[in-house]
Amino acid sequence: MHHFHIESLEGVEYVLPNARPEAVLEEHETVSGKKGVMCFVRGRLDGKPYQGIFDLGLPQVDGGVWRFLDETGEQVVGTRIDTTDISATRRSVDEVMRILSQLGKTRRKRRAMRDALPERGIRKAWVGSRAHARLYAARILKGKPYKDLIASLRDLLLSSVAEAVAAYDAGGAAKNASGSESGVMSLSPELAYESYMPHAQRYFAWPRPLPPHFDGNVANSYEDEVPYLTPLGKGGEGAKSHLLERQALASGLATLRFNRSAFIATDAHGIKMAFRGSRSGISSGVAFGLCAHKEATRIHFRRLGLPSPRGRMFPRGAYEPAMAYAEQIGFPVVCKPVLGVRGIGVVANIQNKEELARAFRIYESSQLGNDDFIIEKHVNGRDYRIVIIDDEVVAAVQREPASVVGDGLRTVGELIHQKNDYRKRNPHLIHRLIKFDDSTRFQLERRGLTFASVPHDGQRVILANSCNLSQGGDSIEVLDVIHPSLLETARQAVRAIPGLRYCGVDLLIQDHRLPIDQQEAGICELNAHAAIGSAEYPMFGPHRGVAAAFIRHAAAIHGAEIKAEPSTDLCLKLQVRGQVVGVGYRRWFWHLADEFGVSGWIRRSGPRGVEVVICGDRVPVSVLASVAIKGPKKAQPTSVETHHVLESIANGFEIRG
Amino acid sequence: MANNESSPTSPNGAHLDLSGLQLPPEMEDGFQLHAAMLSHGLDTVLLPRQLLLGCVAGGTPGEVAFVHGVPNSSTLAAVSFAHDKRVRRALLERAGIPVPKGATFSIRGYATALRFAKRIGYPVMLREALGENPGRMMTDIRDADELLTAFDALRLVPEQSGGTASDLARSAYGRYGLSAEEIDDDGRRLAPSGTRFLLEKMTTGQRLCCLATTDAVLLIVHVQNDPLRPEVIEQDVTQRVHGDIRDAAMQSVRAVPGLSVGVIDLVVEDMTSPTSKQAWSVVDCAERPHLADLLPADKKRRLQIANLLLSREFSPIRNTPQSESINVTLTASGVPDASAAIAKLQMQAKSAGIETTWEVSDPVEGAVSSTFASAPTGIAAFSEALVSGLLSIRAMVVETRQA
Repeated sequence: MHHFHIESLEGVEYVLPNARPEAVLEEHETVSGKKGVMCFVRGRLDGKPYQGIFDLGLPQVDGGVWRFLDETGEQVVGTRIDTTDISATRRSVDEVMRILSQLGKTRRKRRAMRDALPERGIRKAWVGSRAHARLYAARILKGKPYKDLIASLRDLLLSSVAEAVAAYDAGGAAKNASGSESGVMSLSPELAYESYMPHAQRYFAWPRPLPPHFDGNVANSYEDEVPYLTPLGKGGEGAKSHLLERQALASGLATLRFNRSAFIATDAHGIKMAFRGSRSGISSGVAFGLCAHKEATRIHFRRLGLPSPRGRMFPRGAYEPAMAYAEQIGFPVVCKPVLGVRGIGVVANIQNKEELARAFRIYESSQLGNDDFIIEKHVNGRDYRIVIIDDEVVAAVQREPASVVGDGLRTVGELIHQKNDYRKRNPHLIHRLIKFDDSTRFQLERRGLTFASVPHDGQRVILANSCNLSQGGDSIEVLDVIHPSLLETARQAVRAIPGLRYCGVDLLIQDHRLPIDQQEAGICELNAHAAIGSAEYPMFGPHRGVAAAFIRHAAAIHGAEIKAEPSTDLCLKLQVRGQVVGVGYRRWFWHLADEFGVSGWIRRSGPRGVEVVICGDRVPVSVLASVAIKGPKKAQPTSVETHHVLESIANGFEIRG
Repeated sequence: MANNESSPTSPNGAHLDLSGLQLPPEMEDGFQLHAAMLSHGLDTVLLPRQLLLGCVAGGTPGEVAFVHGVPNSSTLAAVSFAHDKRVRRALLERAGIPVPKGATFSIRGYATALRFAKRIGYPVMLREALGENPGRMMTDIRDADELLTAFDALRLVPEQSGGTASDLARSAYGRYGLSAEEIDDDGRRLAPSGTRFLLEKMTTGQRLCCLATTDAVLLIVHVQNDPLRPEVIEQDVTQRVHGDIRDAAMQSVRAVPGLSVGVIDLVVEDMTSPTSKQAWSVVDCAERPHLADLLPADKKRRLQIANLLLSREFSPIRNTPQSESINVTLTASGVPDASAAIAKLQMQAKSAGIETTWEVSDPVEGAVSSTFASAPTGIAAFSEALVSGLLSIRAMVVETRQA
C-alpha cells in the first residue's frame, strides 16, 4: 500500500506575447497571445520527494474561476492519494475533486465557504449578501471554465502520481495514469522557466507562502486598502495625488480636482493649497530646479561643506574623459544621468574599466541617454530615503535591492512569484513587481544562477543592481532605530536649498545605528517630488503618516484651518462637470460604489454635470472622489468639486436620475 | 495656418558672440535678474539651468533665488499649474475671468475636436496642452482640413540636438517628458496618441501683454494680436490702460495659487474702456517674465524691470544704490582642463567687455578665478553663457563675490 502525499501546489497564469512575424518561432511559442496555467506540484511518495511541472492545457482562465481556485484550493493540499493501482488512484483523486466541486452546491456549504473567506474589504461587502454568494457560486460552478479546471486538476494529480511512481519504480501503478480528456502535459524546466515564467501574470499557491522577512520584520500586508486602489491605475502620479487628497478630505478641507494629479484643497475661509502629484505649494520652482539637476545639488552641497560623494559631470558622449576621471578618483564609481528619475540609466558600484564601458552602453540605451551624465565615487552603504517636511523628519526608509530568500525547495522563479504576491498586497508596490527580464537574468548569471535554480534554505539571492522600489526593491521603515546624527545631516541638506520644504533625501549609510562620523556616509540626491507611498506603505516596519504630515504642514504654512484629528469616515458631495451625461458615467460610478460597499446616490444635474453623494469609510470614499475625474472610456470629466455634507444615507448606492 | 516651430537654440559648442550682450531669448530673464543682483552689490552663485542664488555681500548665497527669472516665491505647484493650459483656463474661469471658447482633445479624439471646432466656429488655434509657455502652436486654422494638418504637425516630436539638461527651452522645473513615443513609417518620432491639445477660438482685438504680480502691474505692452509674432505696437501703455484691465491682470496672477509673478496676455476691444463695457478675455498666462518678448528693443528698461522684480522679492536691496561698475572676484568651477582654458576664457570675457587675468585657484575642482572691475551686465552675460554651455568652454558653477 503506497500513498502519494500532496505537499504543495503552485500555479502561474502565463500570457505569451504576440509573436512578431519576422521572429523565428520556437516550437513552444505556438499561438500568439496564448494563455494558460503552469503548475508546480510537490509531494512525497512514501516519504520520497517529488516535484513536477505541468501545463494544465487550459485554453484560457476566467477571472472568477481563478479567484475561486485561489481561495478554496487549499482543500487539495495535505490530501493523500492511494497509488496501489490505477483505479485506486483515480478513486482517490476523484474524492479530492469531489470536495472541490461540492463547495458551493448547498446553501450550507456556500455559507461555510463565505465564512471561510479571508476578510477582504470588497469581498466582505458583497459576499456578505446571501444572494450574491449564491449567484457567484452558481455562476462559477456551472460554467465550462470551471468544469475544465476541475478536469485539468484531476489530470494534474493523476499525472503527478504517475510520474512519481515511475521515478521511484514503486510498482503497481500503471504508467498511463492520466487518460486525460484535458491537455495536461509535463513541462521541462527549461520550457517552464525560459518561455512561460517571464510572461507570468496571476499566481496562486497552496499552502499560502509565509510572508517575507527582513531583519526580523515580517512583511506588512495592506489587504484592506489594496482592493480599493485598482481604479487609480498604474501610474504613480494618481496614487500620490490620491493619498494627499484623502488626507485633505479627512482633515475637513474641500477639494477641486482637474486631472489625476492636479487638485486644489480649500479651507472654510477660502485659503487655497495647490498640489500636482507631490509638487506642492510648500516648495518653490527654484528648489525643484536645484534638486532635479544632480550636479547643481552636488556643487551646492560641496560649497556648504555637506557630505556628498566626489564626482564630476560630463557632457553626453564624453566617455574618454569620464573614464580618465574614474581612474583618477578610483573605482568603484557610479554613472548616472544628471537629470535622473526612478533610477533610470543609473549603474552603481562599477568596479573597473570594463564594467564602466558596459555602464556607458546601458546609460546610452536608457531613456535619458541623450543627456549629460555624472561619474562619482561609489559610497559603500545601504540606500535610505529620509522624508522631511518643513524641517520635520517624517519617515526614514531603508531600501534594499530586489531579492528573494530560498527555502531549499523552491526555485528562484517560484520565489519571485511568492515575493511579488506579497508586493501585490502593498498599495505602493502593486505595480512595482520584480520583473523577469534581462536585467534580473544578468544579476542571476553574475552569481551563477538561473530562474530554475534552487537556493539553499535562508540564502538571499539579490536580483537587481539598484535599490529602487520600481525595480523590485524592498522598503524597511527604520525611523525608530536610525541614529539622530544621520537625520540631522538630512535636515541640514534640505535647509540648504532655498524654498525646499518637502523632500525625500537619499542617503547612503553603512550602518544606520551608528553616528555619521563613525562610518562612510553621504548624500546621494534630493528628491523634491518624492513618492509618498514608499514611506506610507513600507514593506517592512511601521507605517508612517507621510500624507497626513504633508497636509498638516501645508495647512500651517498656508495658514489654512484643518481638523485636529482626521476623520475615519467621510460623507462627501461631488459636483462632476464635463462630458458626463449620456456616456455611461453614472453606471460606471455605480459599479465602483457598489463594489466598494459605499452608500449614497448619483444623479444628473444638468446637460454637463452630475451630482454624487458618497458616505462611508474614508479609504473607499476618498478613492471614489479622486477617481471621479476619470470616468469610463467615453466620458470626459473636466473637474470634480468635493465638499463635506451631513446627510443620512440609507445603505447601498443608487442612481437617482 | 501658421506655426511657431522654433529654430533650435544655439547649437552645442558654438561660440556665442557676447559683444552685443545678446543671449538667446530664453535666457534673457535669468540674465537680467543676475545683472540686477550684481548691480545692487549682492554676491551671486550661478548653477546649471539658470539657477541663481544671491545674498548680501559676504553672506550665504540663497537668501534670494531665481530660476530662469522666476522668483523663489513662485511655488512649485504654481509653475506646474502654469504649464497646464487646461487647468489654467479652468482656474481663470472660476475666478470670474473670461477665456476664449475652447477645450482639450487627445490626438486620437480628433474627430470630437473637429465637431467642436465647427460648433465654436473657425478660425481656431491648436496648441500643446501641457508644457512650456508659450509652447508649440498652430494658429489661424480656417477649416477642418487645416485642423487635421495641425494635429499631425503638432504630433511630431521636434528633434532635440541635446538632452533635456542642455535644452535651453526646457525649464528647470518642467516635466521630464519620458512618455513613450511612437515612430511613424518615415522614422519620425510621434507623441503618444493620448497627448492632449488645447483648441481655442481665435480672438480679435487689442492684445496686451501684462507683466503683473499678485498686487501690482509692472508693465503693459500693446502687441500685434498674433500669438506667433506678437510684435510690439506700443512699448508702454501701462498708464493708458483702464484700471479694470490692470485689475484683471493681477486677478489672473492670483487665480493660480502660489504664483508670484506672471505675464498675462489679454485681448480687449478697447484698452481704455472698462471691462464691463466690452468683450475681453485672457488668452495666455506664463510664469516667467519673458522680458525679451516684452521689451525687444530696450535693454535698459529690461534691467529696470528686473530691478523691480528683485526688490519685490528681496527687501534688503530696496534702498541700496545701484552701481554701473563693480569690483568682483569671479570664480568659475568645474572647468575641464582648467589651465589650458585660461586663454580662451580671457578672450571670451573680453568680448563681453571684461578685462581679466585668470589663475587656477583649485586644480582638482577645475576652478579658475579672476578679480576685475566691470559693468554688471557684462559679468552676468559672461557667467550665464559660461554655465549654459554656449561658449567653447563650459563651467559648472560661477561665483561672483563683491570686493
